[in-house]
Amino acid sequence: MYKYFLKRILQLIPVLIGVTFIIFFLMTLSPGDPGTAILGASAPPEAIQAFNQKVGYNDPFLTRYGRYMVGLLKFDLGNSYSSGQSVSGEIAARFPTTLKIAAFGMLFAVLVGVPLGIFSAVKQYSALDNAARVISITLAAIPFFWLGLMMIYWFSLKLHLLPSFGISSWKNFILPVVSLGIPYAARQMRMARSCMLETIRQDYVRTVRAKGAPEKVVIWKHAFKNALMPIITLIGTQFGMLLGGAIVTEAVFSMPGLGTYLITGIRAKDVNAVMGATIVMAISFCLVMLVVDLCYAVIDPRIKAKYAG
Amino acid sequence: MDSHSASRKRKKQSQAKEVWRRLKKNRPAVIGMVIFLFLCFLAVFGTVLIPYSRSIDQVISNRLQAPSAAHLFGTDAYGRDQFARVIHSARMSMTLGVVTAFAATAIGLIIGACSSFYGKAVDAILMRCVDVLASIPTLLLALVIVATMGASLKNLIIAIGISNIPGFARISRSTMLGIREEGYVEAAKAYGASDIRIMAKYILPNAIGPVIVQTTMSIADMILAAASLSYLGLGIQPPTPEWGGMLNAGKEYLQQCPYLLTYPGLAIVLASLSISLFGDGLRDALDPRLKT
Amino acid sequence: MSDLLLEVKDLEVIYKTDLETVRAVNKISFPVGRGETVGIVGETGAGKTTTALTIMGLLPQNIGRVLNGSITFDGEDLLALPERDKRAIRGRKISMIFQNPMTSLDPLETIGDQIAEAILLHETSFAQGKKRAFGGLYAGELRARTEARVDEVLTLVGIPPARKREYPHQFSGGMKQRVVIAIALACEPELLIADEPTTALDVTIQAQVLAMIDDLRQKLGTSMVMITHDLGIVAQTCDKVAVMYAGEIIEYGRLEDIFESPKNHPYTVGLFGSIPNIETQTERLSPINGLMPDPTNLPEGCFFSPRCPHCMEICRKQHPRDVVDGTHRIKCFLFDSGDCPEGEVEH
Repeated sequence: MYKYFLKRILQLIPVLIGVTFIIFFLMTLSPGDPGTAILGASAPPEAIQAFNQKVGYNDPFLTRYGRYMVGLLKFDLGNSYSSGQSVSGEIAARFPTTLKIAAFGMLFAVLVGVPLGIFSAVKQYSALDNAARVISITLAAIPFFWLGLMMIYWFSLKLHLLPSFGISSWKNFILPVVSLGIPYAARQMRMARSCMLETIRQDYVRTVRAKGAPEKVVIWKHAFKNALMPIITLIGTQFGMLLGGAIVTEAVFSMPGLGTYLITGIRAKDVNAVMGATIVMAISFCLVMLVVDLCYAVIDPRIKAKYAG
Repeated sequence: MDSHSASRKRKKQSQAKEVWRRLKKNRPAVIGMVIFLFLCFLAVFGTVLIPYSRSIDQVISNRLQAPSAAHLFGTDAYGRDQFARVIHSARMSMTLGVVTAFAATAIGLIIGACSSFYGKAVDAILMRCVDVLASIPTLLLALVIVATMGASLKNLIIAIGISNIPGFARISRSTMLGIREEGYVEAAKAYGASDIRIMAKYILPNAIGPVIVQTTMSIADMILAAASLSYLGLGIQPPTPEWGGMLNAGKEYLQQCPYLLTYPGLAIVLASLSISLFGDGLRDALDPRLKT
Repeated sequence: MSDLLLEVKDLEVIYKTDLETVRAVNKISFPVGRGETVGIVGETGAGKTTTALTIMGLLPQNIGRVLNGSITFDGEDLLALPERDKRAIRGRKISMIFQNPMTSLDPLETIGDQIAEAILLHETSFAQGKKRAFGGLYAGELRARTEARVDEVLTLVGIPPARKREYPHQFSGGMKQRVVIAIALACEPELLIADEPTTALDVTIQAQVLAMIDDLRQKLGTSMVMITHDLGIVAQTCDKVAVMYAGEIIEYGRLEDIFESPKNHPYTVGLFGSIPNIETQTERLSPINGLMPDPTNLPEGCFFSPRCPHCMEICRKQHPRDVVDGTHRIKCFLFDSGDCPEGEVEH
């Protein structure tokens, strides 16, 4: 099994290199140089030039990329153009917030969506199933940031139940997580339902019934376990969308996380900040996908056997 | 030969008719389609129905009025009629959604086709690239591209389109790989059909089905992505009306004038919902096995 | 204790969807005696699998419906039983083997566990509604007993018991089918229904599997319903044969009646005629013209009339009745002189 883990981790490395390369490449396309940004547009051109030369702005692309990657491995992401502080420091301070929103949002979506999806599949055609399908399709169509705004209006401004900005307590996380989680829960529900339906239709499920098994055993011991794999894959890929959603949710609720850092950075043309935030988020996504892959090895004996030892 | 192609044409037509018939029976899907077409109609003819000036002209004396007969959805901070703005937003959003979806699909199809057809090395390289692109969350990638290129309709289409290509590339590839295994493709090869002929006549037409469903569903995601970017101020810039942008403008008045936020949001929900229903119905119609 | 283990009488089954109603089984009757093998022969779509699923109670819930008829097993009408009692019989007294071994086993469970599950599901304490038939974590004496039985059954089907902790993907098609058979026979059922058990296998494996099934049957005295489209298999394994067409049994009799009698239903004649003959030289195969009728739209009169080379006026108008001649039963006007009383076939 360790061989499989190792293989997956090794496969991740070229992907990570590719990801950082693309992001770095994109950022180099953006207008603005560090000299102008930090010293100011009104500074004398020679000073700007000298500054750019000093920070290596005029070096060939690959050299700069290499330098950045070396820095990345040392967790040094350069300094922010706007604040002059270390980007990695600023990111480290903000990352937990984003992580909390995304992780709890995902947890909410999975814990609510997947069981509902499975029940819907098992009770196909019943009134419950039809109602669930209608509700889930409607909820999935709701933009989460709009839901967030509406929830702020009702729960915060009107009813004064929950705070609407900042991160001073755990209560601050309730509305963001729920507003992000509900549309994704609806999507998870639909995906879990279709995975489950697909699995129930398989021949081996019929064999289990032919053994005389009660429906509970058929569904939970056999169908569910087999449906778990595609469900988990879908959860993994959805995490990417959830991360993107977390960015916007942070903006809605004025929470100081990576998302707001990224957006402020974009507005201020702070290349280092934007690059750092993007890379950290992209790497997080890759790691989540890796975890999903590793889950397979635990669940699927075909993979376990292939890399036995 | 003529009777063969004639009978094949008949078969294609009757297949399409069959799909249409099944689709018609699905009432939510039909409703979705009607609403979607209505929104497209608004996108094209919105400015004819309601003059564009009502969305743009700032009449400060009218600012922040609650919904009334004169202004069905109220007015915003600049006195602009919200109802007109919501209607005219359809143009931006629907254009973004539809054009981006089709563009991403087209490119994804090409990548998937090359990948599945030319196999081995080409497949490996293309799929590695797709994997890398897919490893970056879509909204994030779109944000970065917009950050680099600046915010405009064209750039939004490019940004959101690029970030969604991997999904289409993968589904095209896997569908086409499946079709290649089918008997009729082998038969075509056996009687010496050229690669292009096989691709055009057999593989592409049969791959379209699952891909089209994906395209339809993704229109909703694209509209949502565009709205999100506009909400962040990085998408369609004001004064051009766009639902996400309207939410951005209205959010500071959330407490006093919540109606500024209700209607654009509902518009997004309506667009998204109608497309999802239609896409769902289309999927069921194309492959009724999946339903039962 | 009567000689008759199973009696299907006037069974009618439909599949009803939003779009259409499929008449899958149209009033069939046949008996299965103890220790006997009855073959059900017919083309794809004749209703053979539906019959088997109905006996097992495994029709798709919302779509399959029994309109009429009875299935009497050991004195009880299976169709009238509540689900709980049906479950007690399923896998325990009546077992089924399905067609495609490659997809019939749960990929995530070891074959040992899958066989053990078949046994545990019918352990008295479990059959009474107590939860766990979850293999692995069960204790002491029960576990020892079950594992011993699993080993026994694996040996019976020719798989070394040491392999019981392996997963289905580690076995070949033929071996997988043996596992399926092991599961089916684990509780020593009185009736085994085999739905085209060797169709998906190579010819050589086919012979092995058939021989094994036959051997086991003899040892355990199990009755069998063998569903197949292959007349060769019928000749090898069956005592009685029922030929199905468009949901009906158009001919029924002992093996000799079907294979050697001068009188046969035109469809049966066609079936035999379409088998390539190794001894005669010929240029073309002789299939039966036409296709089986659309089960949502069956023809008036005899279902086979559109394709029958001996079709008469009356065949198109009236539905033929069973003409009985000793142990042989044919549903055809050709043999219906009008004065033969419709009666029970002798056993």
